[in-house]
Amino acid sequence: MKRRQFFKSLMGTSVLMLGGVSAFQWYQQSSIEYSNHVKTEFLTADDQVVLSVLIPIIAGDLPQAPNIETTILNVDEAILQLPLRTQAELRELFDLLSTGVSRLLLAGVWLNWQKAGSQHVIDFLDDWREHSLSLLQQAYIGLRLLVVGSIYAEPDHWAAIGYPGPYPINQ
Amino acid sequence: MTIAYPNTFDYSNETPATEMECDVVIVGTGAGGGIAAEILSRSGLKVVMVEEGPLKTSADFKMQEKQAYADLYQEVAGRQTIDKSIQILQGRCVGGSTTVNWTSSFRTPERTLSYWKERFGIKGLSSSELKPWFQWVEQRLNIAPWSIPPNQNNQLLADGLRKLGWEYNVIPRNVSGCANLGYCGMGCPINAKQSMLVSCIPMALSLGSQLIARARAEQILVEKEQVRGVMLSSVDNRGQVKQKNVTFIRARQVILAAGAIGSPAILLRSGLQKANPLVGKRTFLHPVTATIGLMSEKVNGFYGAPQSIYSDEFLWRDGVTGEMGYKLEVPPLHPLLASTLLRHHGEKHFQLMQNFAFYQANLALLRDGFNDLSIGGEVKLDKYDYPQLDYSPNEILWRGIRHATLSMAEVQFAAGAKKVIPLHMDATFYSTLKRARDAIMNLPAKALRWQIMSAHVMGGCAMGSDASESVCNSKGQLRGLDNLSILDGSIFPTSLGVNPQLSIYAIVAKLVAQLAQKLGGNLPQDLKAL
Ligand SMILES: Cc1cc2nc3c(=O)[nH]c(=O)nc-3n(C[C@H](O)[C@H](O)[C@H](O)COP(=O)(O)OP(=O)(O)OC[C@H]3O[C@@H](n4cnc5c(N)ncnc54)[C@H](O)[C@@H]3O)c2cc1C
Ligand code: SF4
Repeated sequence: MKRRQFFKSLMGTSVLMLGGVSAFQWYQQSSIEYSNHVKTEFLTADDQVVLSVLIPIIAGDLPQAPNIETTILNVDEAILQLPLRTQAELRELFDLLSTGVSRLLLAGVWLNWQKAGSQHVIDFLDDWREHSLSLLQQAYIGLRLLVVGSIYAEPDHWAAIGYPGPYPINQ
Repeated sequence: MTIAYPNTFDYSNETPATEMECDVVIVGTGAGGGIAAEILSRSGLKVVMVEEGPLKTSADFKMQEKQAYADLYQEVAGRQTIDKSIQILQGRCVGGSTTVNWTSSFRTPERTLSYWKERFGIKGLSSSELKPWFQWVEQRLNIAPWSIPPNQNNQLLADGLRKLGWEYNVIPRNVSGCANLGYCGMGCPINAKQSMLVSCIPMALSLGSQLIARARAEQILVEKEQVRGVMLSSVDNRGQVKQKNVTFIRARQVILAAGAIGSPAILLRSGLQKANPLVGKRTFLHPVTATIGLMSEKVNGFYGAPQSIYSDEFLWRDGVTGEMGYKLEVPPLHPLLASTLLRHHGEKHFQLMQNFAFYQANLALLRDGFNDLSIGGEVKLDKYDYPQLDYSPNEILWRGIRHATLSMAEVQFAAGAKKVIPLHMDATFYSTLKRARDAIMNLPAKALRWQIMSAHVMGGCAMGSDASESVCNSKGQLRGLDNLSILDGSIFPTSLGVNPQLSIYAIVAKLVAQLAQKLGGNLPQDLKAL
């Protein structure tokens, strides 16, 4: 099954399950607040909310918590350099993540992202990592790669892993 | 030392000309394109080089992964096969992959060249015929075995191999005045690496050749069975097409050197697969699998020449055409890439990252394409006309990967590793060789789970003597179009069994010297004598 069809069919079932209430209505009811969002070109305000929840959880026990804005900007910039095909795939993935209805079905979490206790989010990541559908494993791998890469790109986190940074050189 | 780049245009911020004319247009400025540009310009021909990436030089190279991957690599160093099971590293900048490669320089193995001759009828490329060309390139790019002691990452590979009685040797590198920094993969900040960026390309420019950066070759124009030239699109500084088909470069001869994904893609966009149905097929990768060993002392795998020790103990383990053999080397370790390869999240991920400086990593690159079951992949176009590689790992590859993983773990324990983890999503650290062996024997051979990488894309426009089995002849000339040559890693009919750059340099040098004469150029003395 093509990924678009797959995501669509998931949306379809979930709307049916909810007795005809559209995904959009559900989405509005679960409206999310995220105040300090940064200026991005690919990521929407909703995507930023999703990321603001995922980033600290993916980062784990890093002594210096990753700066959410910097990480989001790194993710946005990386995506803008990817081929249009990959950007389209990521658009679907982020839409899926920020849409309450499919989240209900896929992750079994019916809470706003911000309110989702971190264990719920960890469970959701674990679930996608181990999922029998390769599409969800791919989604996990892609999303996680963007986020961890955007965290460890920053010198803030190098001391914690024993990386002194590049040698200073005189040219 | 600053290097001059005269006669250079940048289509991300300059208004493109609508038409240009030259003797030869070269698409791509990597290993193949760079060598070709130097030899053709030195023969007195008027050359235009076209490159979709930017011109970045040592002044821009800050040894920072974030910047380097975005500026210098295809798809921010995250190019993937269609099923996303293999991550592909390729350069996308002036100098191509040679600007970011790790400087290991090996001659093509005799066994590979003999196999090409026997199996594919390739002419003129035997070890003895190529020898003077290897020597010429080795001198031109200052290639010699690395004479400084290896960094700890490489030393531990040597230690393990020595303890086990397995063969190993020192890697020749193309460097001059290398300060042993370890950041070759982010562009050499002191111009020590003799990449195309600092050698052949500036030489060609100084002789009057032109270079257009941030310009993507869209397609080739053919009229009356002759190639007329190439159509270019301008590209912005994020690598996205700004304006399609802005410039037409009219040329007597077109050379494709856009690498083993880029060159087939141009032929596909030009509709040339109709006459040559094998375009894009049999693409090989030297699929790479890796293991990480936790050592009791710091390894600091980020510093020092990235690769200086290798082992061919298993390269021909079942003969040339049997089970897949592999070469053992190490990768350099830097935080961003390492963090992405350790496929966990949260607490588990940070626990793994915490010991980063204590990790020693081994890699095995598998020799694909020699066995009939090792069929490689296929370059296809997506709906945006952008290339993507379809390469599905199959049984013979998994067997090779498992074998290599066992060997690498054994070497690491022999070198004193406290525990070892293979890059597999179902693996954990194993604290004894026995435990590692038992676990590795049972790791599921599944795409995505067992992580595979590649920095060596080859094939897709195979040379050969049989039209039904090849895309071009042994001179790199596309069948049916005698003024279109393909001169890069894509003409290899199989992978090599060694890191590819020196094979590409020497083979392209030989083929392009013949071409220069055919075009009426005056081959310089040093090359004429070969
Ligand atoms: C990180 C890394 C480390 C490596 N380490 C080693 C090593 O130590 N030793 C070794 O031997 N090899 C190494 N390699 C591999 C080696 O560098 C390559 O095999 C070799 O450079 C390939 O040469 P090429 O001419 O086929 O293509 P490339 O060198 O990849 O050049 C192709 C160029 O064409 C451009 N291009 C593509 N499409 C278009 C288009 N449509 N229009 C215009 N331009 C286009 C690309 O941007 C690129 O610059 C490494 C590669 C990488 C990525
Ligand atoms: S190791 Fe040598 S060649 Fe590589 S980046 Fe450092 S100085 Fe340059």
